[in-house]
Amino acid sequence: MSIDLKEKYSKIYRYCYLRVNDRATAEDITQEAFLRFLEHPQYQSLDQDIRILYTIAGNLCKDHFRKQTHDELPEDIPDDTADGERLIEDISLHQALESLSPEDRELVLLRYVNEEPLGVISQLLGISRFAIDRRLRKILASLRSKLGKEDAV
Amino acid sequence: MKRKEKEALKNAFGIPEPLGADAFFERPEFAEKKEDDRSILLFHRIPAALRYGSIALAAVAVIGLWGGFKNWAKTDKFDKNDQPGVTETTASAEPATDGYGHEIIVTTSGEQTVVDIVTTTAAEPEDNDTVTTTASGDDGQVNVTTAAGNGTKRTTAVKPGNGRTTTTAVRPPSKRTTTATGGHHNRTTTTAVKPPAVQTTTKRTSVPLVTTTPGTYPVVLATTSPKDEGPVPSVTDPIEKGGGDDRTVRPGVVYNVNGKVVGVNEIMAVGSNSDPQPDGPTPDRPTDSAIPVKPVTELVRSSNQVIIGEVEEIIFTSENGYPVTQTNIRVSQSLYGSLSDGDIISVRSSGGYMPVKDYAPAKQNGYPYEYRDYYVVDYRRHQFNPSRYNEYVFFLENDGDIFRLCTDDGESVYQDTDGSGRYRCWADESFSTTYRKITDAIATYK
Repeated sequence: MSIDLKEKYSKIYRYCYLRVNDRATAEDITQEAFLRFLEHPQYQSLDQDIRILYTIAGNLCKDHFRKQTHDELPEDIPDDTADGERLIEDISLHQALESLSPEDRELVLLRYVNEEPLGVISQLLGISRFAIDRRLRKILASLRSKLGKEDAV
Repeated sequence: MKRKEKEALKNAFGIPEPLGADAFFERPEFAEKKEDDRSILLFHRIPAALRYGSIALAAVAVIGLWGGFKNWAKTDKFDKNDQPGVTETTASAEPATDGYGHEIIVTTSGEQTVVDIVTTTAAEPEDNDTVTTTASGDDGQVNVTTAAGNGTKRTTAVKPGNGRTTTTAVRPPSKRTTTATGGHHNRTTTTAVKPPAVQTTTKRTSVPLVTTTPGTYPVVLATTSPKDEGPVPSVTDPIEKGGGDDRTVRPGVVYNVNGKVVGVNEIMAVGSNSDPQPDGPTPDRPTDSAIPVKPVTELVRSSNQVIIGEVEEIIFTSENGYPVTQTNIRVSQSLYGSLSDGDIISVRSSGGYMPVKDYAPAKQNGYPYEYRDYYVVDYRRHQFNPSRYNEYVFFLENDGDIFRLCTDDGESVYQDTDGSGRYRCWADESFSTTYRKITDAIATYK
């Protein structure tokens, strides 16, 4: 497996995890997204633009939540804290992120964690690059204000 | 944002690492897709703009090359606006000069000489120089005398060829005024005037070969002069023409028109009081358009040889009591037919000179007795009257070893009279054609 493909897998997985907040579900959706990507009419190669993968994954996440509302709630509700691999070193930053809206959290993840270019994000979210840039600045300013100057991001 | 800060953000999200990535990509669906991806050309991975741009550029290049090749193949050397393909270049260690500081570069290509004159000094000439060339041939031989004034250098090269060709090259200074007296005067006077020198310039000119053929034809119908006004360089070595088959035939009767000449109207006007013209009229090219000229396509259809040729020799003979002109032509370019470039052929056409006493209409109807030793000149109905050294387009048909004009008159002869690349019908100058039209007609109808 190429490094590029694995990197894509990780990005989509993080994107999905942010939405479903469950590793197994996020991996299922990620893998389903890749399989659907292979069948996609615009598919040319696995090295193609990741934007299609994000779109498929986002739609699968929506489908997942839509399906979940009709299903009965499972008895064992996934507990983030039970995940042994989840180590949060900076609790204050984590709390600051949690205080953001889901859309802003997704934007921060795409830009600073997945390190997607503004062009890809703007196409994915249907917002102009300038709007995204302004929004990111606003989010960072909000995080700084919450963390204090000494802990600024 | 710094890398460290990004790592902090990533950690703050608290997203665990995926576990099933390696196993997932080992699935057969991905193995097949990877194989497919390897078969995809690198071309598909190039950005679309570059991809389609390169396709468009390649298409333009192919179309351009093809169009250029077609134009080149069609124009060939016939287009006089083009420089001829250089096949041989003569150069010496020291550049040739003409005595005024003009460097002369002479390049010979096929049957044409291209001359570059480079003026490198600004010397003012002190006076004019005169070059006089006199040619006479009463005894069938051509004698050439060249005189130059004020000690300036003139070069005269006379070299008998295979017993019938003499080549003379005269180099005047940068500008030349030519006065030619044709008709029956065996004399050509060339006056050369040296102009003020100018700054460094280079001028190229095409110099036709000046060739005279000793023989038994003292009548000089016309003298040739270069079409352009550029300087004529010194050509010390006679230029040999390309090879080819000599397919000329010798007519049974050859008239040496060395007596007085009379027009047809004079001898046929029996009983009239008109006086004979001692030297007779020299027929000129027709200027009116009294006859309808056939289109080139019709000429191509009715001919089986289409050539561009240079008149090397003119022979006056007769057939059935009527004058006939035999023109021996060296084929410069065979456009259609079995002839090859360089072949020399005999083309016969009605009209010419012959003794009055053998002229059939005169014998039938009678003629004034005083004309019995005259030659009658009979060029009528736009009959072709060739000039030596001139190049024409001929539409011919075979008659055994002899070729004849397919219309038996000037309709089937075209000439580039002004070097413009347009070939004008000899019978009527208002009709003209181009090389391309001729070749297109040949391609269409042959």
